[in-house]
Amino acid sequence: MDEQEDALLRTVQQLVETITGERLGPDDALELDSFALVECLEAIERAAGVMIRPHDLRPEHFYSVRAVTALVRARQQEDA
Amino acid sequence: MKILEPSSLNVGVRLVATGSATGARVVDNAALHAMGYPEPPERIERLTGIVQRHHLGADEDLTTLAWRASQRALEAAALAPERVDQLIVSSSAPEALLPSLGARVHGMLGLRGAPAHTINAACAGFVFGVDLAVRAICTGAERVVVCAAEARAQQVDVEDRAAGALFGDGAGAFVLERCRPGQGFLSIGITTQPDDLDAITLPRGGTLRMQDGPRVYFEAVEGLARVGEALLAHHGLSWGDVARVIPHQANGRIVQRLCWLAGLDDSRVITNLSRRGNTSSASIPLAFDEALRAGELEAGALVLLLTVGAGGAAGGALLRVDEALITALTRPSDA
Repeated sequence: MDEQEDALLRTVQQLVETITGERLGPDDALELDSFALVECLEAIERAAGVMIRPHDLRPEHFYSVRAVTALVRARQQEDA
Repeated sequence: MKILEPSSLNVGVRLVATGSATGARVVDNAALHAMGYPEPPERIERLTGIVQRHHLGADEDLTTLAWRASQRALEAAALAPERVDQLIVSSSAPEALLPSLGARVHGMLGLRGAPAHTINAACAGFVFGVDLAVRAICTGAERVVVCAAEARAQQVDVEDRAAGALFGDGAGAFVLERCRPGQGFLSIGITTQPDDLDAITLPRGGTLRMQDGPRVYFEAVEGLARVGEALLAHHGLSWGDVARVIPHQANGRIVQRLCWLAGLDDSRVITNLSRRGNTSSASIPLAFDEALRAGELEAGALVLLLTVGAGGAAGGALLRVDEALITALTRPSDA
């Protein structure tokens, strides 16, 4: 994991904590209902300056902080 | 997406009257929470933009709603039932398979001899019905009534976080008629891309289930935007050329994200979500009728309708508000 991805992971953790009130570890699952997941993903895309596209999303991405970080990082790199 | 431009066939199709109806029982977020929805009222509003929705009253059913909306539209058009050439009724979950919902509404309206179609393209069904109506007029029909009616609130599990708070019961109807080429509908387009058939399902006798809610959400927004861009590009127009956009009223976040994606000023987007919830295929004609009656649609205004639905259905239409619609508002209605 590079420095930028590490910083992004911490941002994701922080946003998830703000929205859900829970501090999750990198591999902890985002066990949230659909609305809360969308809320988290939209907060993350605003913070990361990317727009998540539907094809970025696969079920395995939803369920851990690390996986969501990876998809946002991939989108950042694709947009760059 | 197949786009039909009536004027290319030297025909015009215009919208001359609208009608709508909602279930009699108002269910606000506090009542829904008391019924078993797991989230508190303020969170429901924050996440969905919905404050209340209407459910069928004790003496109502889906057919009654469809009839009331269609009857109001016929009265606004001052149109005798025998002058209707076709009736098209959309519902994604009619209460009985036989006789068809279209046939039952046809009987209540007193139409004579006109064929009644019943169609299902999920939440996109109304625009699919309008597409059929435009095509019918392009091939000889004079006047077609298109109605969408849904009692989806009866078909969700109130304890289901994803779907339990969204849906309301309602109906809406349009009366379309032949006119001079260039008036009314500039174009209409529909498509079906069933890439993910399991995303939203409603088995017979069961309740609606949304798999993978976030993906449904992101797909819905992009689907709406794609349809709008295709229709606008067909005419060399951009989002800024449209006076009003009426998207399927799925939930408030979807409408907000569409505005962001399309760069749309949200004051140009018509939504009744806070009061009506998601009424599935009835949402566009219901929102249109309410906006028209509230004076939010002016004669000559260019309006873009956009919809997406389960099964990969999507569609849209671009039309100018006809003077006849404004005239229709002054006619009395007692439906």
